[in-house]
Amino acid sequence: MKKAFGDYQRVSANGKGSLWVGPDHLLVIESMGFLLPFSEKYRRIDFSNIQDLSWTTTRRRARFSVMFGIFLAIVVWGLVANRDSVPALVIWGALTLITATILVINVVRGPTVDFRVRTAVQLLRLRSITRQRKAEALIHSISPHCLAHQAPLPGSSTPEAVPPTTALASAPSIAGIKPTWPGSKLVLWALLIQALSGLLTVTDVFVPSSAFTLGEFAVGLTAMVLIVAALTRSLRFQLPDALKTALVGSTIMYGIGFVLGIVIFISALVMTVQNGPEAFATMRRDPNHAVFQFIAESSFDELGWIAWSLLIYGAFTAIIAAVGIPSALSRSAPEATTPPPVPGSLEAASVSPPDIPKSPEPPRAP
Amino acid sequence: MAFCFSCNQTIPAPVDGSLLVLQCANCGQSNGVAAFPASVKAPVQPPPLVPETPPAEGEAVCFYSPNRRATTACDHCGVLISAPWAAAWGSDTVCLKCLEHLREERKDERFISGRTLWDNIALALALTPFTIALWWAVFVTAPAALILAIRHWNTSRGLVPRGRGRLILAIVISLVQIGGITALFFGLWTAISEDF
Repeated sequence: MKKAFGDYQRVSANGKGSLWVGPDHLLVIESMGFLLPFSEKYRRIDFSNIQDLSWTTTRRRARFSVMFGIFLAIVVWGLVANRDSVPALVIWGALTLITATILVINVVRGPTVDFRVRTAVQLLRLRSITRQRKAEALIHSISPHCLAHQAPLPGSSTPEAVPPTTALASAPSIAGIKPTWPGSKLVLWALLIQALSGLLTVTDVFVPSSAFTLGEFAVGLTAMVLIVAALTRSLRFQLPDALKTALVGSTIMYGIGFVLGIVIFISALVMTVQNGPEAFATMRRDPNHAVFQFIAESSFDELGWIAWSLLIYGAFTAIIAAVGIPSALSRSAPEATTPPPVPGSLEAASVSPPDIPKSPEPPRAP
Repeated sequence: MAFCFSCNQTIPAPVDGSLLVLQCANCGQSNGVAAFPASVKAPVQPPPLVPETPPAEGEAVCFYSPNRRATTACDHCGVLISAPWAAAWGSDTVCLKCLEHLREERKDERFISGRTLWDNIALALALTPFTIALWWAVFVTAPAALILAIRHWNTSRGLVPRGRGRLILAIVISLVQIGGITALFFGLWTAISEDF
């Protein structure tokens, strides 16, 4: 798409529409269609009429991440289950790579938002702005145009005339700085279950039981989903260092765990084969079950370096999660109070009209 | 004043255009607001529906409402008009009739409110048979894409100018598809003729 045409400069564009800055107005192009836009609707908003530009965070990124996380788990399972066939391995590997890439891009692009432009007669949602970073950049680029086309208020547009934002905000009112951490039960539970998962991994090394290993897998999977959700929820806030370390560290540990899991799987496969012809026959019939049985029911000495790696991995996972638990327990959001009226605003003026005499009360009927 | 879009709680924001990032204490949603002086200015009073005193003899009267004084002239057609019949568009002033005419006839791009993108429709039609479930639609979509692409060769392709690439692609794809269909029917016909 062109970056400029006529008097217009493009400031944003995606599949749902685009946004252009004109000489005295904002041109909003909304596209409608399926995969390709089949029609366009044009709206023009004068800079002089724009009352405010605002965004609100949404949960689209979290939902998208959970959806693709589940899909990633399925394709990884497909990759492992079809490791014997090279063509299947290529197809499942490509699917895994694509899904993981989409998931990472979704997380890296930042929080999702709904962006709106308000005038005296309309509240228009701009569907071409969906990310907070983009919304902030857009506000910074459009604000000078709006201010240039609107006469400043006499003596009321200075920052001193504006009340402090403590009434509503649990955050500093400086642009670009994230709000302070208000605390979250989700994050606390995620870290607790993550710590439990680490401890179970350590214990599992010494307990040769398939049921215990299955339970540990279930707890680990729950912890992984919760940690991803907690990270998504908490990244829009200014996190305490310990909490940030715990959440990011836990996520990194899952990456390490993924690589470690593949290495352990291949090693366990080799070890199972070396256990004799009977084990080899079992492995040929059902390799997944054979490897799982070998890892779950072998003792510490039989597992060798695998046991040590699992021990270290579990201990690290538990320690990293435990580091963030005290910070997750603390809540720092202040209590909300009623905001004072803005001096010089219409609302403030309407509260106490200075020159209008009160009309006498009508006489009551007897 | 701005509002939280989740719960409609009032957010006191400075009206200097600076970005305020905060969390709504009511619902917990993060909000970013940049308010401008227009948000605290009094609304402009609309012009009176009926003038208090009708125009005197010799005064310029509105072309559309002769009982009103003319206050301006339409930049498009030149007639004298009163304030209720005038519409401001950037630096131009146009009468409501001209505004309607410009929008309906679509002669002036500044007044366009929407447009159908025929090049995208033609391309989508040409690509439809490539989806597995709709391969059989090629008998309809290929000629339709070709006709649409030729019919709308000179039609405007949206407010943002772009070339004829999609139309050309639609024509090429639909011609290949029509060629394929023709070859298929010719082959079938030849085979049937040889059998009988």
